[in-house]
Amino acid sequence: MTIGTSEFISLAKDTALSQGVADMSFVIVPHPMGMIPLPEIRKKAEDAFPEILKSATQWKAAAKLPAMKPPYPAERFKFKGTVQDVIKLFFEKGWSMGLPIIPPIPERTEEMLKGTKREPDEVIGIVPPRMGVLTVEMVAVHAAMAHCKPEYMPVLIASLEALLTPEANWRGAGTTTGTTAILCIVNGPVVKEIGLAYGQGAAGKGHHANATIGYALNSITYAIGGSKPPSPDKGTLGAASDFVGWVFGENEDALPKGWNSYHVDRGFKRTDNVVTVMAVYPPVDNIDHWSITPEEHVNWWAHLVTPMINMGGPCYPNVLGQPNIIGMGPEHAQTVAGAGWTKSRFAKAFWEQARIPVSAWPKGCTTELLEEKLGPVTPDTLIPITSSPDLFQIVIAGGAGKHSHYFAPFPGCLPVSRLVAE
Amino acid sequence: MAQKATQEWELLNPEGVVELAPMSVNPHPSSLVGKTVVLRANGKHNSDHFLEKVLELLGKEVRDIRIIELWKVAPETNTGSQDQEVSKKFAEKIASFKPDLVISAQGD
Repeated sequence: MTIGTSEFISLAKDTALSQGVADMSFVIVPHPMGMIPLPEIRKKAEDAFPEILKSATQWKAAAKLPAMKPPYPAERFKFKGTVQDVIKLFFEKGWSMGLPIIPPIPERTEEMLKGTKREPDEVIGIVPPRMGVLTVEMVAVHAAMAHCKPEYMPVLIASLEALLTPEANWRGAGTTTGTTAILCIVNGPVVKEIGLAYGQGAAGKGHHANATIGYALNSITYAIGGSKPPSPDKGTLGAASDFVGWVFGENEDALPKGWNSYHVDRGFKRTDNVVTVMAVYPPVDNIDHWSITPEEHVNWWAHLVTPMINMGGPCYPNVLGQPNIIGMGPEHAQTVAGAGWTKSRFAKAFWEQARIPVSAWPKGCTTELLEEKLGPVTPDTLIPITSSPDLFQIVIAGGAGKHSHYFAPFPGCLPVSRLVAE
Repeated sequence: MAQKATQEWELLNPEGVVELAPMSVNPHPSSLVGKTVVLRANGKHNSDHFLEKVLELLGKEVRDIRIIELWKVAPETNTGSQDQEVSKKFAEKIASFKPDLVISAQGD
């Protein structure tokens, strides 16, 4: 039996269905449960108790699963109207997110499939939370809708393969109340081959490959994965990055001397084409315009980013073991590397300095799980962002300007890298 | 001159199909007398406090009932399950107590 609040019960039912449970017992209590005082939560439990007791012994399963259909070929249908009518139809049916799409006619999809050697009926994976079957053909459909070029298909497919791994926690990122987005970093010669932006404003407007790949990724998350507000996507506010994910190439041209590229740090060869994806919170913009030394710059970072960036500490100690990605602007990177610092040295200095005491977190968070990870703690124990400095992963991101971007991971999400194959 | 914008389209449905592996749910016991009930909190604020009150009321209402507060005996489960692998471990832990019923409270 699951007790859920009125605002979240539909998510609970969707989640159960996605796990193959056609029917289960739910008891609904008025939202919220969290951030209310103890007498109030006890009253809610008391009010719900008759229903809990009844459900405990009288509930019986009634609903059945819908019949399954083959995933290939994709369903085709006829429609009469203008292009605007098609765009309106797709939005009303929940097949598009509200921005215009290119109608996915068979010819466009076939054109898109020329960009990959993979067979159209190949199943790449099952997209949560809806458990939609993602075939190569379906990737081509969404790539067509997003106005991708066929040559983007290998990067798109590699990104989706990465998202489909358990480590990426695509389900969690697509159903959370948090403001999460897909971060997709691309390395290797493919960046320049397909015209993916990697320098000035790379993650922003004006870059066709970046924008359309980001749009296609989110289009798949929405229509095939079913990650839609208000449920199962419970995002409290949502964000523009729900439409177009963060997609950019690492600025390998601006790598400081002696610094490896991100994909080499992750074990690949410099000549490999690699995508790395992770579900992240909105980035924090480090606008340090003044530091001359790495020490000063680290001090800026340590005051800007605290372990509370994704709960952390006693409230959610699991995040201590997750990598965080620092999209370091080339100028900030030069401030650090120009003084002879390596990435490791920077990471260690930042890790040692960016700490706050246990007492900074609310008293409602207990320390048992935290102590399992860090050993005995007191209210004065200083808690780091991560359990070790090598969990700070540095990417050279963007162009001229004194800005860097800190991407904290959504809980349970790790960066996942995949080779880009044709 | 007005242009004809209406046309006949052949379009592909971008939603695709779903793949659901059926999973059956155990029937609920007809009575809780003499039974074992596991209470599972999800680590969010107050989910444990809600279940503490449920425990208190069950103890008053049902005789000879054994109630396990999972977050106390297996604190590693007092969190969101995050992925299938972790969910499976949590389920195995819960099953190790041989419950007749599991009551889960999802705080948020």
